[in-house]
Amino acid sequence: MHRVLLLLITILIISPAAMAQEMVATITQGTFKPRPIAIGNFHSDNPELDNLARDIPGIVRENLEKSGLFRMINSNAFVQTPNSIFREGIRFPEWRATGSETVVSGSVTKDSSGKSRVEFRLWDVVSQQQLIGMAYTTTSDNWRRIAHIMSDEIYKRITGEQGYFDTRIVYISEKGPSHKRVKRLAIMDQDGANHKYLTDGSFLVLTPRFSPETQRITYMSYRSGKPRVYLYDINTGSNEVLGNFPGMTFAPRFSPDGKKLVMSMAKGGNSDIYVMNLKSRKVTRMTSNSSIDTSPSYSPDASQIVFESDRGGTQQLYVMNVNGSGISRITFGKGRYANPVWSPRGDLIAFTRMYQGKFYIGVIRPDGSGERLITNAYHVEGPSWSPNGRVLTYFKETPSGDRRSARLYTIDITGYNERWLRTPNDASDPAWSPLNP
Amino acid sequence: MSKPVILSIAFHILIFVIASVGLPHFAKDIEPLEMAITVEIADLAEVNRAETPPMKPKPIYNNTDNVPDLIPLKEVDAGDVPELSADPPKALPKLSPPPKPRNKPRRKPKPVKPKPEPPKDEVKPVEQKDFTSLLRSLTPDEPEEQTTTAPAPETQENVSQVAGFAKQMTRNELSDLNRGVQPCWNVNAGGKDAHSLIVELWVFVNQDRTVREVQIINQRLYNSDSHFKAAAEAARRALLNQQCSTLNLPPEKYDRWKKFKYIFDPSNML
Repeated sequence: MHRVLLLLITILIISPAAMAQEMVATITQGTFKPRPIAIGNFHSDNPELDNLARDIPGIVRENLEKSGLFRMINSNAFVQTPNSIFREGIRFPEWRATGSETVVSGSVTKDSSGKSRVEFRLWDVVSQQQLIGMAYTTTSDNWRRIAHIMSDEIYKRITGEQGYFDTRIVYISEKGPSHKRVKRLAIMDQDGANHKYLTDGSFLVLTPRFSPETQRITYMSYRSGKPRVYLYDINTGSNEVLGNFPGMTFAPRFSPDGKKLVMSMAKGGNSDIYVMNLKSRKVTRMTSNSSIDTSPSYSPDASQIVFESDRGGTQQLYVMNVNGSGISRITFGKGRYANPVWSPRGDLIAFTRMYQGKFYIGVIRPDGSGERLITNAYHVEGPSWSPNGRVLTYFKETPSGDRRSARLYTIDITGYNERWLRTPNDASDPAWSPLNP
Repeated sequence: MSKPVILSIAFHILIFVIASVGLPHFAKDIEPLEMAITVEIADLAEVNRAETPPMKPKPIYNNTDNVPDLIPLKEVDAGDVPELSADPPKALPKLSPPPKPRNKPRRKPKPVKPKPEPPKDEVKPVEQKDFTSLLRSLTPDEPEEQTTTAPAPETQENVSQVAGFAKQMTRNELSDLNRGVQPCWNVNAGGKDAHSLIVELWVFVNQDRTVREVQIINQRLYNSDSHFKAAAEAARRALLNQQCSTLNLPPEKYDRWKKFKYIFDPSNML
């Protein structure tokens, strides 16, 4: 009786408190638009550094705007000069009126050793706080890299994702008519600057592939008419032959740690997947099927490999465990699927699809769901991921008389913001580097 | 008086005291909030908005001298940042000819690409497109025009899922609140696992319906996960944005919305 009484009293006491619970509302619809950001020139007291104070933020503006995720506030709307910001700080209410969500301020000075010191701060205008502040000391010649590193920091702080601006792209430069095409290996910054040729065009080169962890690439070469795979270190310039691989049409891809290569080779009239240990040069066979298995790519956690195969009757994509077990098909669409490449984020696989005479670049989840075709053309292929898995680069070809015009493009994985990546000549087979060390 | 009688009286008095202190909340809930709806010929939009004063964005911070202290810069000696160079590959020594294979492997023919068709359109200069559809998807049978899919309107089902708040607010009032905040909530559609980044905020509102303060509830995740941090700041920014910081809320229900939990859930969008 007493226990029942106590229970009743407890319930009656608790009930009013329960009824005073906090109110809850849920919003499920928003918008997706470029974030407005104001980036003015940096402050400088030294006239010798005026160019840097202008050029560095200029590169940052270009990088962020090209990503498609940011919208630059027109400098005519700025409410403070670089000097005013440097001396007084950010006047947040006035900047809010410009419509910008964030503001970047900075300055350039010279230290006692003659090196340039570049500092910047990123401000949240809405919540009126500093988000990040960094300072870099380096030689003046390195100003472009500083701008790219700065862009990566701003990008990461606002989007939460790793940046991709301090990277490079290796590709095949093409020149001349179709029957006498000169192809050279070339490298440039991701924005097209600092362009260099790595081969002289005297022999055919194809499909460069970047290591995800190191500054090395593999590429196919047909020097003397024989297909060979080369391993080239961009930093040291060392170039070694991995071996002769008759029947190989694509260069191998690196494992995530850069210690192995996965490739397809034709032996005995059959094409299968193999893995080579770069240290021991031991080659292990992964698939054993009468079909054509080719174009393999590692997952970023190195637990799986995606490849294309016609074992099901048509050219489709398959995923298997890294030891060759558990092969399962992930694409079932019409047409043919090829060139799968696993995103560094691990959440998507990019591919080329051919259907009814058209080429498409698409993405799909590793379990085969959520396929989206994000661009198409007369001929488009060769997707390569930015190191943050947010942007794809690829090449498109259009016929033009007796020759073809080939260009590199980049596109956001949402399918928007397709941009032409300008090169001195025609270009194909791009490969995106990891972040520069 | 016998002891049981005294105990009984005391017990009844206790019950009476508890009921008088705790029960009035029940009485309030019985208020017929839906009475206005019985006027069937009324334009609900006008009825709900009649009492809404004109929106006047009010600055949150009046003190322009209140510049926060600068967070110390993170110094990076980028002197070791090498100037990138890529020298042409060094000349290779001559290779010995490979051993002749016993059997010449039959090469599988390279997959034949479809016969090229003349392009219908020129390569157009690329332009920045509006993000009218969050995730673009071409279908193979359609030309290269984006299929625009406007975000689904907030459904009855979504609105009815709110707890507590929904019991005191009408459906229209909740929709008005969200409709006012929606243009300012910028979602990172292509971000990794963006659909799962659900952000919960405490929102403190002034009586004039302007947002006074926003607190991110899951601080542990905020400090450890850069994706969540970015999503949480985007949600907070949506509420502090001048365009949206005066919330569409019924003034007469101030006691109910002066502090409330606001959940930003993008899973339906992505």
